[in-house]
Amino acid sequence: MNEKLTESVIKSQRAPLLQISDLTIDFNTPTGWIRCLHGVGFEVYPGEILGLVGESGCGKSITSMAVMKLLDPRARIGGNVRYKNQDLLTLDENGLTKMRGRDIAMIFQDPVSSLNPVHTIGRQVVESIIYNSAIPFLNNKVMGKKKTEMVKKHQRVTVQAARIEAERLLNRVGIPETKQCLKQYPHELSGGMNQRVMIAMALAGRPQLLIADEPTTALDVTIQAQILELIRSLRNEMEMSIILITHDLSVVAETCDSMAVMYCGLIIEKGTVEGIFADPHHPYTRGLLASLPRIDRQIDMLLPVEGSVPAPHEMPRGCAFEPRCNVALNVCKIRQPAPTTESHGRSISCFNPQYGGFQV
Amino acid sequence: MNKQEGSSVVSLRNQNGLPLLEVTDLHKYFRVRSSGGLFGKKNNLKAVDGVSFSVSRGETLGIVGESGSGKSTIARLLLKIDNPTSGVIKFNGRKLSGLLPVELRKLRQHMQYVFQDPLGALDPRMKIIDQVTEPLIIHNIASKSECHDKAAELLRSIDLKDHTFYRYPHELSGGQRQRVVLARALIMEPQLLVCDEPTSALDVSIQAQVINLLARLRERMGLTMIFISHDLNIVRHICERVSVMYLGKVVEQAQIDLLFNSPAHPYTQALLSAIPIPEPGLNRQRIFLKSDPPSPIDLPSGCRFHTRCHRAKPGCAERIPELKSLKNGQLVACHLAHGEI
Repeated sequence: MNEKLTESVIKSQRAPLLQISDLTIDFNTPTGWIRCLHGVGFEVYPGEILGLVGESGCGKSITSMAVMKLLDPRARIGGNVRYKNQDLLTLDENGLTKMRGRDIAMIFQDPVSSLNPVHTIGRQVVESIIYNSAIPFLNNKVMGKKKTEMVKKHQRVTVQAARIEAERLLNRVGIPETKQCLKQYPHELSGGMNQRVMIAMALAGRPQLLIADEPTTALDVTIQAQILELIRSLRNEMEMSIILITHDLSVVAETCDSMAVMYCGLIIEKGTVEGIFADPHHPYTRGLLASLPRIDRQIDMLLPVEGSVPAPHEMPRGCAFEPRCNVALNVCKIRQPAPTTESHGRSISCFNPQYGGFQV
Repeated sequence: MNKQEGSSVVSLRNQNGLPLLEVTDLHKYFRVRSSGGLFGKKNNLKAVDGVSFSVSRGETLGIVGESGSGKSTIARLLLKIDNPTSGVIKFNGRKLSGLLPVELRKLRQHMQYVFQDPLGALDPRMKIIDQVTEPLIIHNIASKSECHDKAAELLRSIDLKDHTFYRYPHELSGGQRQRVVLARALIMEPQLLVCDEPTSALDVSIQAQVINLLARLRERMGLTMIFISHDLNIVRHICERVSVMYLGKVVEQAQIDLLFNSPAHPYTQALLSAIPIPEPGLNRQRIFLKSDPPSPIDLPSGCRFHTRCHRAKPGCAERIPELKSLKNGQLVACHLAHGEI
């Protein structure tokens, strides 16, 4: 307990790397504006792996897309996203280009569709290395015709250096025959190998924050174990922070330091992984944990969360979880609970949080 | 419905001695061009290579393995969606090969399939109730109004509300759709239900609902089930016996508790250690497998797993291990487990 206390004291003295507060996202649909994120807030501290968990449609991915500003430009984004005291939401296109890849990099769920099928792995990794090291030269607006030739000459040297760097990166992410791999196309590699290539490309800019959006969902368990181990070791080696987006609570338990549970565009509970798994307070978190079948013991009966997630245009007036909640109060129907902060950075959005007595 | 249910349970009990499904030395090879594009040499892709098992009435057999291990191919062979290259499948003591189409259709009433992707398995332009009654009409079992009543009763019993009956698949949630797929398979009151990854497209809280429903229906209808999944957590929860497959071969087969408590094959050991457990700070000893699975076209010699095995010895590359029983009844295909090397 003491250890954890000191840990949280240290944490509170450090400045967060990424601070998101009150983030809202609305999409325009034929039936009008629909709000998909209802004020999401969390912090990522240096060197920390944060797990963002929730079921499909709860807004995990669009939160990360908003951070990278990859959403459709017609989407309305509100709130604050601060990266090292820089407001990402007000950055212009130039600033964003500099930020993406070098400060914050991202890897996606399906590596095969994220890679270009008609270019070799080598070309794609080299491209991302050059892009991340020589942005001013490559920016078309800056480049005149005379300068282009100079850049080309300059690039020939960089391509050589970039190839060596590419080999080093592929080697680091655990690809056995790097020379051969550079000449291959994505379809010639397995899913796990493609995901390693994606991670190598993300590392090219030496980012301080890596957003991994369901990086192992498309992979087999034995390969998943390899990739998660790789991600953990990279964090230790490069002192990166990582946001791991996943629907798999077991992956969070084994990989992350802290976690945030999302439901219907809201963070309903966040805190340290140990704290939440030992004593989940929000009824939804409890329900999720109770509905997991487990490999390490025999359970007589799974306890599912009954009902299903409401559609974004049919959100209840009060707490979004109230229709499925088994400890709902009257007030839950009327008002949305605001997040309340407890010790050790724990925060819950619930009028009737449950304490203790949780046993799977 | 209840009356029929009762009688079918009785008839099942009467025939209890015989296994419902018997598979012997099943092979399925696909001819593929491995290299050189359109004019390359054709090779055999050994999707299923010498698999034997039997399933007794009322039992649930799990088939687990990574992608490409041949799980789904087996499912397709069992229902004769594909024809095996060689080997015998006996259902209720009758060989599936050599049946006339009419006979096969009759037999298919008793064996049904639940697909992985419910949206892909349902007809987007048919109302839910029509999808569920369609099998009854195809098999000419009851009149239209009887069909409708029967389907409605079944749908209600799996917690679908009346107002969803006249909707289309895209209007339902993922969990509801998978219930409809289940209902369509169960309306025939089959003896054998083959589920191919029935919950992998669903969220955890919904997955638990569907798994509980499956377990309940199995009890009530006396179903025999083959449950194919890559998720060992669910398999442990719902199955009685498991077959672990690797590259077209069964490497281990055992009762559920035996397999999870004392896995004998190195692949099973690695597989179990790779599965994350929802409990932080466990610090488990993890076996990391080397590299990726080899290509099923160009299989390694001897034991197929030796290229990735953490316990492999030189002899493993020479002889193919047989699936043999250990003292406790666990079937394992490994030279080391049997002390042969």
